[in-house]
Amino acid sequence: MPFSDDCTQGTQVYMDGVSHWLCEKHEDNPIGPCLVSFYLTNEVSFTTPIPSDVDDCFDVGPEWINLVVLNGSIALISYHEETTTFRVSILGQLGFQESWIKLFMVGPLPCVERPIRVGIKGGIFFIRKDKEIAWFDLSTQMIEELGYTTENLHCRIINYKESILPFEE
Amino acid sequence: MEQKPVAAPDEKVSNTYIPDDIAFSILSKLPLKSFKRFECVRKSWSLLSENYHFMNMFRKDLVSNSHRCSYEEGSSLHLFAIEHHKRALYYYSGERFENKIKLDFSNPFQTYDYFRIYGSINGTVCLHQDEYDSYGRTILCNPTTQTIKLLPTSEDELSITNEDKENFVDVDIISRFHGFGYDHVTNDYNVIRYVKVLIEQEPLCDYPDDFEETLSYQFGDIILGPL
Repeated sequence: MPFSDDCTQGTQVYMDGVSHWLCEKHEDNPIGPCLVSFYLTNEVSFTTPIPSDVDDCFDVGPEWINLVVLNGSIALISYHEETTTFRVSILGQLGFQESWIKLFMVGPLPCVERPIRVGIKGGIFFIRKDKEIAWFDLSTQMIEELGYTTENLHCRIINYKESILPFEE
Repeated sequence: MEQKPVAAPDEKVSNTYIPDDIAFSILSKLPLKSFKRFECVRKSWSLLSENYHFMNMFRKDLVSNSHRCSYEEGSSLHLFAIEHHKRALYYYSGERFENKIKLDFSNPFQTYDYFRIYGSINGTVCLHQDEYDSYGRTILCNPTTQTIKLLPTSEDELSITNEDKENFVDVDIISRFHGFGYDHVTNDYNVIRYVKVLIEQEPLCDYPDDFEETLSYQFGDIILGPL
């Protein structure tokens, strides 16, 4: 099972009992860039290569890549700094590299200083050049402000569902 | 006034043909997985993913559907920021994330402020330190109830004793976070980590730069018990 030596925040996603992570090419992973899907119940894994004609973000580093769930499908979102564009691709079937579909390109968004994370509802969160945290709404194609300004580029965003259920101490 | 029932037309509609534009409109609303299966039904459908007009419809539906998608974990956000060299946590909710609350949050690792924040499941957030005191550490926390759980160290990491550290030139343990999931069958949270133990032996006199490498890794899941 391929592993990643460069696990950054946002390159893993969990959906319906399956843990997915991205894996870059390295000496122990001759397959090249791929998606690894691990079924928690039976511990079976699938590997889906990510061909460079789907997204060449792995060839041009340093890159920002996020793995998210879009409408029940695994989606790969990458940011390309030189063009200030985001590329969105989705996977039709685990294990089938030909089932990747290049969905769309977002941008250019020259106001992006640094992408943070794809949040709920497919919103792409980023720090703007004016240090304001903003998000691009995929459905309305509009940029909205979160109402938070930061000089520190290391802020993180995660999707959250409030719960008061305890876990075993 | 009472409405008269509309008279049924005499001639029965026997045509089962569904015009392409209606069929395409239906297909464009399917989740990708179902659409991929329906591609095999007809030759004209198999080429739909190359059809510019159809793909535009498909994209539009996909994005608008993801708004009410049940797969989405929650409807709010957590923003972890650094303010005056300290961690700060904000909770955003609402349709446009217009409601903001600052939560009480301090570094749950207590020492060594560098940690990464991974996803959350059922209100439980997973935090990980790649390397701390020569091994990785994972914490699960629920910011709402202010509960914290430090996960046990894996066997591979524990197998390295202090004696080993003295006997070898260098012992390095690398921990890479791969996933945080939930097993619905056993009601367990699972953390998947890649753990690599690197042991540098005593350098040989003839080849001062040469060293032997021991490699072991595991994809261990740490079972936390039912909720």
